[in-house]
Amino acid sequence: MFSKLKLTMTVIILLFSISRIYASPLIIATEGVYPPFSYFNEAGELTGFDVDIAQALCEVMQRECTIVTIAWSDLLDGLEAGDFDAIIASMAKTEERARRALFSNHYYRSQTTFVGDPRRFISIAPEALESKRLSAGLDSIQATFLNQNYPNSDIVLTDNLDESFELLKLGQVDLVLTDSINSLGFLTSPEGFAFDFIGEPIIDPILVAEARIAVQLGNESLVEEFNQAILQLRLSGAYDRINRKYVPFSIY
Amino acid sequence: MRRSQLKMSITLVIAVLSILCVFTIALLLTSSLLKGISDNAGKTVNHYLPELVRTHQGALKVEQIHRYLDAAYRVQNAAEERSYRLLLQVLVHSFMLDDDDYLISEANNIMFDIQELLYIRHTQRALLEEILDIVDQSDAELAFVRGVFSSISVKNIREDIMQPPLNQLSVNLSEDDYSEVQYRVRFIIDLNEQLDMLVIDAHQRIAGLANYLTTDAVLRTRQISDEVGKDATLVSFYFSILIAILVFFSLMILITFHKLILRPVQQLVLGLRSIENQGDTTVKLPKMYFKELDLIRHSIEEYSELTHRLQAVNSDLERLSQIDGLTGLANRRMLDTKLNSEVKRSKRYHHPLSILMIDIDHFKKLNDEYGHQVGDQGLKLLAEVLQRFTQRPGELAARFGGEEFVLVLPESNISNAIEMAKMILVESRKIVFPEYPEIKFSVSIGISCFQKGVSDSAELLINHADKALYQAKSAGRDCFRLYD
Repeated sequence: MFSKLKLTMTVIILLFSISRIYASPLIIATEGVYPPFSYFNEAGELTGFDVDIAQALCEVMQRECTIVTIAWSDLLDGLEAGDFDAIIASMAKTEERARRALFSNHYYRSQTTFVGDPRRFISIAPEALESKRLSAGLDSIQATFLNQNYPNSDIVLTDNLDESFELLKLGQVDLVLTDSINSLGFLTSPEGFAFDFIGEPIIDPILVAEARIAVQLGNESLVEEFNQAILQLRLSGAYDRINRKYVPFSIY
Repeated sequence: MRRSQLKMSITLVIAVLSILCVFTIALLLTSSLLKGISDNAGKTVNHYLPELVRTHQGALKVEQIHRYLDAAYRVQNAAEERSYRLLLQVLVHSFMLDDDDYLISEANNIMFDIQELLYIRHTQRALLEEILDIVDQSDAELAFVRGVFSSISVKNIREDIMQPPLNQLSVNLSEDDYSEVQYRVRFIIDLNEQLDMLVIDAHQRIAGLANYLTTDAVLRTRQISDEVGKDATLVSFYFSILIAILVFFSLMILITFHKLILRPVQQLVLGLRSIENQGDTTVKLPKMYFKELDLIRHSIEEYSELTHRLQAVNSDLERLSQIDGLTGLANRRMLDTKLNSEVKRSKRYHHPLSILMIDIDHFKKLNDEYGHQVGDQGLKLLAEVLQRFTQRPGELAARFGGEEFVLVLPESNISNAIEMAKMILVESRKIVFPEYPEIKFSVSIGISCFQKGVSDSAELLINHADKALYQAKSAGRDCFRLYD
């Protein structure tokens, strides 16, 4: 009789704790210095495509979400340490990253193009750029690409792309290699007037720039939840609304 | 030939189990097929819908390219042109992400057109600057012309509207300067015409691309609806098969039940009923398929045979109960029954009826002298005579008891009865015992006739005949007397 009661109590407590875990809010990390995907606007609020997509996904998944900004290089460490549940920071899947996190389907795609002074540069062949100073974000796919393909160039890695563009403006680097949409903001600003895309977008297996959501290894259910939510966002048209807010054409 | 027989209970269990098996297999097969179909439908949705959305987005992007191209064509300053060009560049390059060679090459062609357009605009602006420089360097009063050239946008520099300022310049400028200006204006005009061609070409490409994507979307939609339709047809096909199996088995069960159980049971019931009227033959039934039913059939046939035997015994017994064992004539019981019914008939229809009571003379002496066997022989011999005289229908000869006999003679009046008595007397005298030829045999007869109010019952008729017999005995035997 008593053991039965005990069992029932245990089950109830178990169910209660499960439901609490289930209902617990998700913590989502983003970069915060990567316009137009995640940045702080004039009012000091965190905004951008990644941020809006994160919020929309949470709404579809009916989960409460808290969005935090973490430096790019610390994102995967933080995820592994369990500081947050997911990274929505325009992160592409690479072999190395796949060993540290699980990745969802892509939620946008982009290309990588060099940005620099069009009067000085036409060709982007490695021979043409020998001993030139090339900049990219630390731990980015662009950095990996530069290290592999431009061994005779001077590669300057920065903590974020704002810094890279700053160096370009100051003439401390010659070219910046980054995401086209990310560059577009800089190029259309008055500061970027002197610069332009150099060459065609680079087609390379390393530079498959498909932004995905990263979650902790083993959390397949959350990835599946995100995948379903992405599909739902796209089919409901919410994705397009967010897309148009930051980029005037579809980037899926 | 022995046909192997099955037990109905076992057969039923096997039948039910096999039907269950078939249904389970059919259900499993159908459900797995249905699952495959629904998976397929899910795949169709997961595969085609995003692709459809992508195609749609591609079409939207092409639309956007169109808009940016027009804007880039229309805007006046280089900065705006540049920002449109940058947008266009990223937009066009985004087509490279899709694995569609036609899309990529057309997008690149459009990009070339746009770059060409911007280059021409750049050249035109440079030419315009040069014209303004030449005009500025001249000393002549050219405010109007200067105003025209500094305010006009390069795309509006056309043959017709450029004639008045050129005319003015031809008057006010030196010949060299004028020809320089005229050359540059003509160049800009030519470039504008070239630009128009270029924009038309770009528009055509965009229209072609839009058309391609729209057709693609329509095709995809067709594919989705085709595949979903195919799946639906498959589903209905499998359901039809399932229903057909159901109907087939139901029919089989019905027919089997009817053939192997219902009809045999009806045959058994009919067989059981026909036992009552079976007559001389016993009921024979066809062999049953099931052991249990065959057991019942056996029992019915056995019952039929038993009934047949009982009926035979019964009729024998009935006969025996009406006959006197020694003489083979009717016994006393039958006499009573017959006489009663004849009396009733005579009463109702006023028909004559006579009875004769016959007694062997000196029967006691015969027994005592020659033994009972001879006495019995005498009884038998007389019985034979009496049997001979009662051959007409309705007539009856019966042993009344001891050595007394009674003849019932319907339709016989007094004279008929007397006639009969005389003949019997004559025939009785003729009776001879083969071992004892010396024995003289004779009978005495008492007659009574049906007469209303006098002899109108069986008892009275017998009683009166007995009295008449007594009179005949008293009168010396071997004669008859009539009761009156």
